[in-house]
This record gives sequence, C-alpha cells and structure tokens, in this order.
Amino acid sequence: MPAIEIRDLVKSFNGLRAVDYLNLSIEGGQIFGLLGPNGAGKTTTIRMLTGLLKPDSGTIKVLSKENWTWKGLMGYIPEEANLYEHLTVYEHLYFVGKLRGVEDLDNRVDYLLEFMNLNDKSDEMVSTLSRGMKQKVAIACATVHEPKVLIGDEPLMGLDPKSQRAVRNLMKSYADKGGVALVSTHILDVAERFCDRVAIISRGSILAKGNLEDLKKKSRSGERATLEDVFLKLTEGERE
Amino acid sequence: MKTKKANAITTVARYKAKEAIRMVSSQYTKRSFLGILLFMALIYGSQFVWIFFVMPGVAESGGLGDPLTTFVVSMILWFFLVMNVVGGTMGAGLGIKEKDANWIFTTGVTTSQYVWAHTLEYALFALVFTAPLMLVPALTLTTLNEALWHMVLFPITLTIFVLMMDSIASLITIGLKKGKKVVPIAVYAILVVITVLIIASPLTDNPQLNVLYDILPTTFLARVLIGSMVGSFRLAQFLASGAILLTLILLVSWASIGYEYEYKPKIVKGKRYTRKKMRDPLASKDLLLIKRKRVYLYPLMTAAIYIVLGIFLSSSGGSMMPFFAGFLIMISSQTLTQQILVNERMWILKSLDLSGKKVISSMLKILVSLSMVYLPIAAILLIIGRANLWLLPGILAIAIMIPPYMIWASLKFKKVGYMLSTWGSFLTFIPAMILPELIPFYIAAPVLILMGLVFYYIFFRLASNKWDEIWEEIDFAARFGQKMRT
Repeated sequence: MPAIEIRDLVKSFNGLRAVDYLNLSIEGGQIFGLLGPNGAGKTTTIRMLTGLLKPDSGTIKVLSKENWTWKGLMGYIPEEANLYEHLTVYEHLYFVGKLRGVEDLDNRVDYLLEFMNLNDKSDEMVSTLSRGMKQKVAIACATVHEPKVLIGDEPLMGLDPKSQRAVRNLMKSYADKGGVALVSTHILDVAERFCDRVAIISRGSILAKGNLEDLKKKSRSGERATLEDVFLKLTEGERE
Repeated sequence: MKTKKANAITTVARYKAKEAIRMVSSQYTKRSFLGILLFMALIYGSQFVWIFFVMPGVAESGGLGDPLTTFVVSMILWFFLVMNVVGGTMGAGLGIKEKDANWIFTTGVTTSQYVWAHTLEYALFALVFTAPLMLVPALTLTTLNEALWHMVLFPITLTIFVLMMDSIASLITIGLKKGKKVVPIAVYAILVVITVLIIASPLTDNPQLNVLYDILPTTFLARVLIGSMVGSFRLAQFLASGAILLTLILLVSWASIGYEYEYKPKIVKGKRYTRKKMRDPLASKDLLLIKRKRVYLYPLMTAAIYIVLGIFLSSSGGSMMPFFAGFLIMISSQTLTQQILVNERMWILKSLDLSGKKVISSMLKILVSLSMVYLPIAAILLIIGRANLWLLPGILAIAIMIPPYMIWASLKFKKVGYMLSTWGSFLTFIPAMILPELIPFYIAAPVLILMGLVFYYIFFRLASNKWDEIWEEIDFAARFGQKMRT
C-alpha cells in the first residue's frame, strides 16, 4: 500500500490548468523528489496534499486516509517560511506544537532547538533572524509532532551546507522509520544528492518516475548521463 | 494527538493576539505609545466634545438626543458597513494570511475554530483602541453631571459594531466563494438603492422611507450608542445588539464549514497593464503606485463622511466645513506621503547613481502636485458650508507643508515611531485653521502661503549639507514603514 497515492488530480486557476490529471504513488521508507521547472505545478500539487488547495477533481490518499484526515500525521515546510514575526523562536515552536496537541511539549521544543542549532536564538523574535535561520524554525515547526509524512516545498532554500546535511539526516530518519519525505525542488543537484527516487513534473503532469537509473533508461540517455541531462532530455519536447 | 476544539480556539487567539501586541509595541517605546493614545484621546475626544457639546447650533437643537444626531451617526455607521461589504466582495472578510494557512490550517484547525479565535482577538483590539477615545467625552459628561457609567458601555457597543462589520464582510466573502460572480453586482446595487433612499428620507419626509431608515441595523446601533452617551440607555437594546452579534458570528462559523482557504499561487492570470514610457521614472513610479493601489480613494472616502457630517451641522446652524476641508487636505497629504514612504524600495534607488536630493525633491514634487487635486473638493466643502473661500490658500498651505514635514518628522522622531510623525501634522494644520480666525482672511491667506514657502526654504536649507545623512536615514524610515504595513 503506497504511503501517498494521487489519482487523476486536476487543478485550474482562471482557466489555466496548473495540475493536469496527475498520477503519482509513493511508497513509504524513502525521500522522494518532485522535480520540475518553474511553473510546472509542484507547489500546487503540494498545496493540495496539505489541504491548502482543493482539487477540481481527482483523489488523494495519504497513509490510506482520505479527505485530509491525515493532517495530524503530516508536517509541511512551505516555500516561504512566512512565520509569525513577532513571536520568539521558542513561542513559535510551542504555538505550533500546542495546536498539534504534542505531549511533553517543553522537552520536544528543547530537543528541536538543540537539533536545529537554534538554542541561542530561542528567546529572540523571529523578525530578527536571517532567512536561513527562519527556514530552520519552519523545519522545526513542521517536525514538532514527529510526522509520518514530511512535505517540503523547496525546503533547503537559504540553508547553509551544514544545515542542509542536518535536514537530510532528519528526513532520512523519517524514511528509515517507514515514513515519507516528499521534497519539491527545481535544483537538480539537490534532487540528486537528497532523494532516493524522483518524479519529473512538467505542465502539471508526471513525465517520468524512478531512481536515476530508471530515468536514464526512460529518457534513453547514456550510462554517464547526469540527472541534469535526463531532466533536460525529458522536458525538451515539453518546452517551446 | 488530536487537538481539542476549545484548546485550538484559545491557543490561536492567544498567540495571534500576543504577536499583534508585540508588533505594535515593537514600533513604539512605552512612553510614545501612551503619548499616541493620549493624543488620540485629546484630538478625537475634543472633536467629539466640540461637535456635540460646544457648538451652539447642535447643543441648542437638543444635543445628542436630537433625532438628526441619530441620523448622522446611523449614516456614518452605514458608510462603514458599505465599506465593509465592498471589502467583503473583494475577499477581505475572512482575513486569513498565508502564515495562518501554513501554520494553523495544516494542523487540522478548522475555519470555524479560526473564526472564533479571530473574533476573540479582534474584540480585544477593538476594546483597547476605542476605550481611550472616550476619555475626553467621559470627563466632559462628568462635568455635565451625566451618568459616567454609561461611558463604559460606549466602547463595548462600538466593539460590538466593529465585530458585526467584520462578521458581515466574512459572510459575504464566504458566500461569494460558494456563489456566483453576479452576487457582488447585486450587493452593490442594493447598497446604492438603500443609501440613496435613506439620504432622501429626511428631505422628502416620506413615511415609507422613514420606516426603511428605522429598520436599518445601523440606526438601531446608532440609538444604542447615543443611548449609552446621553443616559437614555436601555438594557434590552444593549442585549439585543449583543444577541445580533452572536447570531452573526454563529452564522459565519456555520458558513465557514467547508470553506476552503485557498492561497492562490503566482500563476493566476493578472490584469494586463498597458506599457508606459516613463519620461521621469522617479515621479512615474510614485504616480503608478498611487493609481494602481487606489490610494487616492481614501481621502475621497473621508470627504464623503465629512459631507454627511457637514450637511447635518450646517442644518443645525453651525458650520464645521472649513475645519473639514482643512482636515481632508491634511488626510490626503498624509496618506499620499505615507504610501510613498512606506512602499519605497530604497535599495533599488540607492544602488543607482542617484543623489538623495534628486529623489526627495521628486517625492515632494509629486506629493504637493497630487494634494492640489483635492483642493476643488475642499472648495466644494467650503461652498456647502457657506464658508469664506479665502480659507483655500490656508488649506493650500497645509498641502504644501505636510509632505516635507512628514519626511523630516519620520526621520527626526524615528525612535518614538513613524505614526507619531503623522499625528504631528496637526502642527501644520492648527496654525492654518487658527490664523484666519485671528486676522482678516485676505491677510491670513498670503501669510499662510508665505509660511509654506518659508517652511520649504528652511527644509532645503537645513538639508542642503545633509543630503547623504537624510539618504541614509530615509532608508530607515522606509523600512520602518514597511514593518508597520506587515
């Protein structure tokens, strides 16, 4: 049974189809990359998964649940952190944790502050943090309830290499426990380094899915082809 | 792990209120914040006392108890209701921000829970900001031996009104989301027809129109508000307004079930604008901002309220029109300056080879020119109030003086808050209004214009050797303004 199962998903905005009969199933125990150029429909798909957008048609199942009843089991890292600027880092984590109904919240918040290296910033107002620090707070908020499915929309944006490694380890730990980390990105290097498997999305539908070897075969690229070569070849016909 | 319902409502309300309070307090020192509250209390309170207790025409015609007062208050409330309805049709009703979507709605909190949390938070703020306004009227009422405890009810009633407006706007937003595009046209048409009929009712004295006016919710609330001021307060009326509010909130809460908050991504097709060649890019960008953000409408809305108030006061024998005309120009000038300062992206200009003098001069040129557009409206107000048109030069002087004053004040008073500088604009307003009272108009007018020009000369003289410093500082002011906006 796939952890995430999307069938014939459609979403249009003012007549413009952003997601066009998208089908995707993702098994548990992996970091999965949703790879696509700007405007391919990655964010729209992710927002429908989180329940922030309602699909025009199609179905989504997460951990065999329907109708967004999976929200409690999901963590979401948005593209722009968009935090409550006038709460402190500690208060922000506490606020989200409380809404999530996390037990033993004090210890959990302390652990995340330590893990994300935010200890010395815990009593500072979010507005005073750098972009990278805000991203760390967003990641900590998304994982405060130890979700089974972690969804990140360009989650590594603005993070330094050390923090990127920490986030990768965090996602890996979820995957190892049987969960799923779904990461959208348009940066091929990120997908290649972070993801066990990827799906290439363009114009709202999936062009290909699998690990690098699968994609090479599908795109008929050579043995020495990189993900960049594969991506460009697959999306070649799609672009003008 | 499921979140309990009551817990979610109080948690959202508590943390959002905490954030909002911090946002306000981070812009001011405690002293400056208290100063602003006191200033609001004095300015608005004095206006209130002046209009309803001191002006001979109003006081003699029965003061607050006069039916005409109820009509004016009802009309002003109606005006705010219309503005809220229009806001609601534009989606402003259920004010869900992207951060709320990301951090509240992804946790499983429902829109219905959010509505209640939002109401609690909104009520707190409405109370905090309306209560100080009653300070001066309360003291006046005490000296007039009216029952002081009634004054406590006034901010509560006003808060009920604010929440009602918010609920109505939310209902319209939700309704539109589930309805069709024809709804806003129908809503506007109904509002226009009712407004015209009500305004016509005292003129025609038509009994059917009077019934329409009587059943307006704003008329009911106007009676409750005035009742709390003059002591003709009735508990039943007060409880009824609370019950109406509760019904409205319950309705919003019910309607919001199944309301999907959708954050529209950037791929939504926007309006296409014609390409314009910019002969003067600095001035053009400010003009485009004011035009496209429709900032020019705010002063016109203020003018609409003043016209209603002015007609009422003129019919009562007194005329506040010169005051209103001056106030309109002050508000226009303030709003335009604020918008330009707040929305300025200084880093773009600073990365170019432009001098601070050129940028600030361009801003002033645009601001003063645009303020002139409102002068004919000020003239109309003076004509309606049968006031002396010689007051116009004084009003012109206000338009000239405020932009440089605000730029200077937002730098000078940066530690005590950007908003304080706007309140300080009264310093230019007061002499312009008082001088024509003390000396003949034809002497006061050139004196005031001369004052404006001298003010400019001093501004440029003082700034001539400090442009670079101002350049640095104005960046702070602009960023500060942006913080205020968010």
